[in-house]
Amino acid sequence: MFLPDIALVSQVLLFGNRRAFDSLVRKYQGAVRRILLNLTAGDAALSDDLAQETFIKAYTSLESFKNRANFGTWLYRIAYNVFYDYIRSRKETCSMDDADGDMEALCQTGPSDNYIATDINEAMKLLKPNERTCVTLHLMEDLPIDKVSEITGMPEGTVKSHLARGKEKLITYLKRNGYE
Amino acid sequence: MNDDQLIRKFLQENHSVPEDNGFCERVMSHLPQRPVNTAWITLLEIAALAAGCAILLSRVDLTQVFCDFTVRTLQFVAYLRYMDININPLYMVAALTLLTVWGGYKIKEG
Repeated sequence: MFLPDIALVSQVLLFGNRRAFDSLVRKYQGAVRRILLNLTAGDAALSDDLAQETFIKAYTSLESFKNRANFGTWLYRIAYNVFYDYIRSRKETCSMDDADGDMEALCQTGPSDNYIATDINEAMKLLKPNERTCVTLHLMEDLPIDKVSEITGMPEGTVKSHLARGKEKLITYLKRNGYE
Repeated sequence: MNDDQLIRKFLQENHSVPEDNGFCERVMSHLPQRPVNTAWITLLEIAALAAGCAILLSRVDLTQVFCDFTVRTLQFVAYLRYMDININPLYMVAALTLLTVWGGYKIKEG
């Protein structure tokens, strides 16, 4: 039975219907896990833990979903916040833009993943977290700039700057590794 | 191929969808309990009762109404169960009995 997201959210809110939330988890788990997998540069175990935390946070704060944004955008914003909360809690970064080394360390401690090419992980490790976020959401998930801005809370101009820098680094990596 | 196309091609080639692998079950097993909004459930029950009353007050054949209402009630209960909504079946039975008795009285009176 197909029900729109808002109908499923209402069922959870009004009746505590867990099956409705299960439908939402099944619908969005792929995208949320893929985004977090890219943000953690390929650490599958960590990204799954963060994705689980994302869904639990969404479940407990479902009242704050007002249907002004679509449910996916709202969920991605939670995922983005969960990721940065994790980084902060590890005290790996004070300023997101200075987190290169820390993020690399984070990525290297994680197990290699089973479902994403090593090449892309290596390429993502070259990007700063904000650049990686913008590249992931805009170029991989095909979200428009205004949605990326909404999810990350960054102004559109800043998103574009991060994207430009991210693309520049990716191009350098690709050309260096013989992608033409 | 320009730079943008090269990046998109690279990302698309490496773009993969993680398999579920029990992830959904893991999430569902870690969800905390949510308080059920009993006010809404009560409202729904009142609405169902009101609809039943409206049918009965239209003075149609009682047997027909009873059968129709029973089937519809069972369908509704089955749907609620499918959607994991808990409404005490005793409420349903009580409502059905009450409606039948009351409807019968109204028809006899009319």
